[in-house]
Amino acid sequence: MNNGIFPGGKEWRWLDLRSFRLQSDRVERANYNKNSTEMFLFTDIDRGGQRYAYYSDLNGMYSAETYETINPYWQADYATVHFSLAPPGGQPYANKDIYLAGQLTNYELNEKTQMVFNKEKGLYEISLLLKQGYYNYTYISVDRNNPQIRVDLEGNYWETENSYTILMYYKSFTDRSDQLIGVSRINSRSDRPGVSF
Amino acid sequence: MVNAHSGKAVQEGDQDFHPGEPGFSQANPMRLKYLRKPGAKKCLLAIFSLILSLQLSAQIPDAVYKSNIRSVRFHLYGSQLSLPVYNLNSMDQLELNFDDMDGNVKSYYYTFVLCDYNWRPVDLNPFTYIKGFTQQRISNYRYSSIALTRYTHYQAILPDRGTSLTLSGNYMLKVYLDGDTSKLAFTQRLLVLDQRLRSTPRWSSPLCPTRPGPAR
Amino acid sequence: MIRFTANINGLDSFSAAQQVKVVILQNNRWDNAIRDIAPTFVRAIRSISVR
Repeated sequence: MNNGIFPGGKEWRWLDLRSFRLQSDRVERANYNKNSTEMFLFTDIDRGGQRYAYYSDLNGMYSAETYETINPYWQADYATVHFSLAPPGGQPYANKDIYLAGQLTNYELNEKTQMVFNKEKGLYEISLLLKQGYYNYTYISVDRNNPQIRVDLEGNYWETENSYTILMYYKSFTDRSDQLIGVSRINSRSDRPGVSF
Repeated sequence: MVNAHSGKAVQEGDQDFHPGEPGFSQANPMRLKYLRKPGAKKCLLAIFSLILSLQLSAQIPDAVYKSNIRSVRFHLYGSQLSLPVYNLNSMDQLELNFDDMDGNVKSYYYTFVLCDYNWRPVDLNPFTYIKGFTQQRISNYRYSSIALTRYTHYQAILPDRGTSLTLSGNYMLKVYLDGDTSKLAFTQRLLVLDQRLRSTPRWSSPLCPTRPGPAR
Repeated sequence: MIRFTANINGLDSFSAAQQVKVVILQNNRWDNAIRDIAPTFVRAIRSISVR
């Protein structure tokens, strides 16, 4: 799969849920119930065949934010958010399980984050309870015959902007635990010599 | 004992250094101080080459054990996208936020567990790495308002004045109910840094051609 | 590929390089962290010879 280098991935998909009333670019419609909110997103299209395009993102993370209320922590609301993904030809990926991934799911690949293929619609679907905020996410495919093989469904591009953190630990013969003695950071885009964007 | 000799070191290739992303700026002022110090001759240099196999780590200390817990966030104070890295013996503050969807009030406590490089708890008495109180109650909570969804929001600023961590390394922050660590609600990773090494990461060419991307 | 140098002069053990371990995180993630990276010595200025 790789020679031990981090796959670059693509820039992340985004979802702006800072407001439930103002439906952002990725929201198709919403149900405002008496005690709850449901958000239906536009179907994501498999971007595998597209060229790389750079846009600024949160590198998979999310930010708890609102612009309707004062405090995003205790005045923000929750909504059930319905995601869908259209595979090529409306057919499920052969021998692959598809997961939604990002900090919003703690990058966990399990039954809670696995997408279910809806045969009638020809779409993969998943619903998550999310708090108001700005989210990044992506889709990961896992080979059923070889679960070690986990790849970003949409390919990897070396141009992709990623941040890297290098942690250095040290344990002398007398130490009982590993000390953390260095932290350095590098960005794949802003720290490349000779290339400026 | 290992003593810190911070400040004596000079690194090579600093002209290539570019400050990292915002939110991680705390290391940079110290870096400048570093550059002015002489003593390069004594340097012993290690070069790490990262052509290595990708290993997925099995340990997941960032785990939520109770289904009523949502939106756990743990980071530097005021910086949601940062790693929770605390500089040893500093005034750094970390911010923990989470929601309890039961919407009532519970007694949540937290403590720190020193872990090794692989995030396995180290078999040491907590008093060897925690000075002061080994557990703290999270007394700052609010009921949700305005929102249709009912929940209770909890917040803690760490470490508390009455507690300090005395060793650098990996820590697991444990949050649990009623002062009983067996009633674990969730865990989070925490890094305590004693910065003694400076490194100059640089990209080598070609940059990460893991898969043939489209030609530029 | 990232290449980086670290000055380990501040560590008082002669075999410090063998006792330094590195983890690399991409975008603050732990699930795909690269671990168990051993340093390769290419140069030792003064006194210490390293394999």
